[in-house]
Amino acid sequence: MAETTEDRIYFDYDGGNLKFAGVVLLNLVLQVLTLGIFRFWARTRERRFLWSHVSLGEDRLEYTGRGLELFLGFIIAMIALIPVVGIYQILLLATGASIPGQVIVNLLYMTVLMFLVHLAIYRARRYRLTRTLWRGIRGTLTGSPVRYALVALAWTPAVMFSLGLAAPFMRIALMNREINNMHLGDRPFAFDGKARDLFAYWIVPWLTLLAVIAGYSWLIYLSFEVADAAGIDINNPEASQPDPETMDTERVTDASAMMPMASALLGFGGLLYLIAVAWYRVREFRYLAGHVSFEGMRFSSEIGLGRVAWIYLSYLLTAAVVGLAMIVGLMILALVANGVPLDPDIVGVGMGEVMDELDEDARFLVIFGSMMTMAIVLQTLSRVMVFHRLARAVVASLAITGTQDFSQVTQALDSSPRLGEGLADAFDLGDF
Amino acid sequence: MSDENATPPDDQSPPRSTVGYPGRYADGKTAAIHDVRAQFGGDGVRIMDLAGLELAVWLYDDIRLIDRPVAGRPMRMQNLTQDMARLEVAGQEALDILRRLAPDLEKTGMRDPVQWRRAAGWTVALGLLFGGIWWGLSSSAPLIAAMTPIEVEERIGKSTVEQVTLLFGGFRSSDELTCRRRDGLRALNAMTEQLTAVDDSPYDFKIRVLDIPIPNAFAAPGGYIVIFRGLIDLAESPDEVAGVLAHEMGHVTRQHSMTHLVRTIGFQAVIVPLITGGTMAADLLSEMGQAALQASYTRELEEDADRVAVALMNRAGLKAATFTDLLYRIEKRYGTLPEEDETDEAGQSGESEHRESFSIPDMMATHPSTPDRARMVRELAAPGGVAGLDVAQWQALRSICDSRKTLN
Repeated sequence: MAETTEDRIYFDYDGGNLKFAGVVLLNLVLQVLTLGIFRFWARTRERRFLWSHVSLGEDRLEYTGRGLELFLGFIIAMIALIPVVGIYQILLLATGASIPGQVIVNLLYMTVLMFLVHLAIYRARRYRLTRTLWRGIRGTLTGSPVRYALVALAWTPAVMFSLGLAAPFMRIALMNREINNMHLGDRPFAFDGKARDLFAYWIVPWLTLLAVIAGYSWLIYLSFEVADAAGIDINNPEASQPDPETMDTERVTDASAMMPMASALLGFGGLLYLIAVAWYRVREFRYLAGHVSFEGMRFSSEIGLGRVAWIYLSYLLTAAVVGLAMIVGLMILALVANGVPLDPDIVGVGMGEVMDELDEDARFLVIFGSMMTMAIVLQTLSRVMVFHRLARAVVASLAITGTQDFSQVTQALDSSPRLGEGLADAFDLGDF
Repeated sequence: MSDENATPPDDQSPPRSTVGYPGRYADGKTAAIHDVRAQFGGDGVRIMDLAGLELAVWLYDDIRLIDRPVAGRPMRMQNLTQDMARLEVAGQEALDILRRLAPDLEKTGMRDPVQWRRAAGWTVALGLLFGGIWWGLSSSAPLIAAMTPIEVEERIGKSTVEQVTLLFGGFRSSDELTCRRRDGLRALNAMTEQLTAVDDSPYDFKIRVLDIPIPNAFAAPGGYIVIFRGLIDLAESPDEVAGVLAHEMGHVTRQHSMTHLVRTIGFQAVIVPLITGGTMAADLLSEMGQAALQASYTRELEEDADRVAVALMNRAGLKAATFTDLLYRIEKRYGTLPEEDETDEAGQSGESEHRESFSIPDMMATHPSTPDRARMVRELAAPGGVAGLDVAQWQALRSICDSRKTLN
């Protein structure tokens, strides 16, 4: 009677970009009209859409959260945060103008905030899981948010003092807590990733950045030294009058060539670093996914760098074109609205000249209205082209392998939080 | 009312696995999926497994769709009386039948009138909440300000003065910029004493002139008053400077700086987080709203300070009617009125530079318009009055910074 299937089943995502754009656009407009308060309901609408298009095998996910839960959770978190901010303000006033005092108070405040942020991350995760249904079974997250936050806090100094080198260790430590406490119904997920494996990937972008910074500093140092030897004030090369007798013309040429070289290195190296980071992120995701298992079934992801790079590149290109088109469109609109005849000569005039044609109120409205419109359009564009396409690529890259038997998975006893993500909303964390 | 009782007794057709629409059923207890047939009975859907066993009966009134129906995709349903059991049935025909039998099938989310009523209720509740917070903040702020010990005020005031000075004075301390020419200080003292003699303020005024060319003056908590040299340069008679001084003393005495500070902190802590963090566009709009509300408060405080100033000058026998002429002169020179005093922490003072090139709508202005101020001052001012300083003293005050002209 237990339905068992051998082999591999894929996750699928079948939400259309245009449909999702409709959800996002309406959400944004309603948020503007409600001064942002609608955002809790907006997030719920968005999640309902996303979840309902994710399927594993024949069965779709379902999101059962409500906007009201998020909203009330947020209100409670805000009330809880007031004493923290209040004490911080009082301490800051008490230290007066003493610099070391202010540094200590701010460090303390950052530590507390950092703790709370991780507490919030864990609690938000728990909320989302308990509002996620698959085959009528709810996800859960056991374990203590405080423990999770303490682990994060303990690793932070190591990551900071190692200039980020220790980041994979923190990542794995947190993943251990996140995944090993995650359940579908009463059955746990398991995570067996190792920090040293992740470290082998992480070292690539880390060394890239180090090499770029070192190379740049070295070139700058050299150019100063060469200029110094040639008797040139590098800040004001025209004004300095090196003695032509003793001047080494070859070295001066070297010095003047070194600055552009350094800039070129910075530009090229920066690009290289971005690629290395993207490569790492993809590798990291595949590694982490590949080390999650559930009831003897193992997850895997086949997401590729090319796909992710294309998502970002095509977005940047589109955003640039759309942004430019909107600016031109608004200029023309402003002119027409104010009865200025459109003639071909006007194409190519700056925004400033167009604005000069308007009276004060119209100018204010044009500036404000266009800022508003551009904000909404560009935000929709990025939400659809980056977030949604990335989500689709990530979900569609996932699969599980192994003997599938879900009949043993039973509903967990009720331990779901009554209210929403609270703290996470207070810190503006919940991205989806 | 249990599901079993709801089975229509007159349903004669014996349960057979081939009758009804094919579907998938999860009972909400385990993740097992049952392949089922959904049969539409008298008042409910009977969920039968392929062996002909009845797994559950869902009353039509309790059935809701989970997603908006999409052609070619099986519809997902839930039963309101059962938390997490789910039924999936494929086919347009089944949907059509169900729509007819279960009138509330699609009453979910915002398609449910109850939701709209609830949303309206929440909107009203929120409006009341906002109004309440706003009212509470604005009425309690003066009380909190009044309860603040003067030593605390002085501490805050001192650091405010330093911060504002750093900002306007090119990162130099107030000590460095203070004008100390002796006869100038004596003239300033004479002017101050004329006003303090008729004032019953508990504050010990700490007044100084800073060598900064911007025509501006501000008061900070605890009795600190700072006048920039640029203001004295633009003044054409001592009563204009006395008017500004009296205005700032009004801010101090009425604890405007503290009140404003308390309001701002409360506002930042309570209202701002609620209405921001959504989207860029919504943030933009709410920022405008905040600025307008804040500005309405400072306009109120400015008017109050003007009233106190005129009363003080009347009592001191100084000529009050025309001190606003100075404001006209500043406006003329800068196109519009720059921030003339600073009642807040340093954060907002940098804006005065924008105003020179970009005029703001009245609603957003932090000060009442100059004609309005002048009108009120003229109405309240006692007729006559003297200039306060003699020619020599006025000359001395005008050159109070002469020993150290560093900025121009």
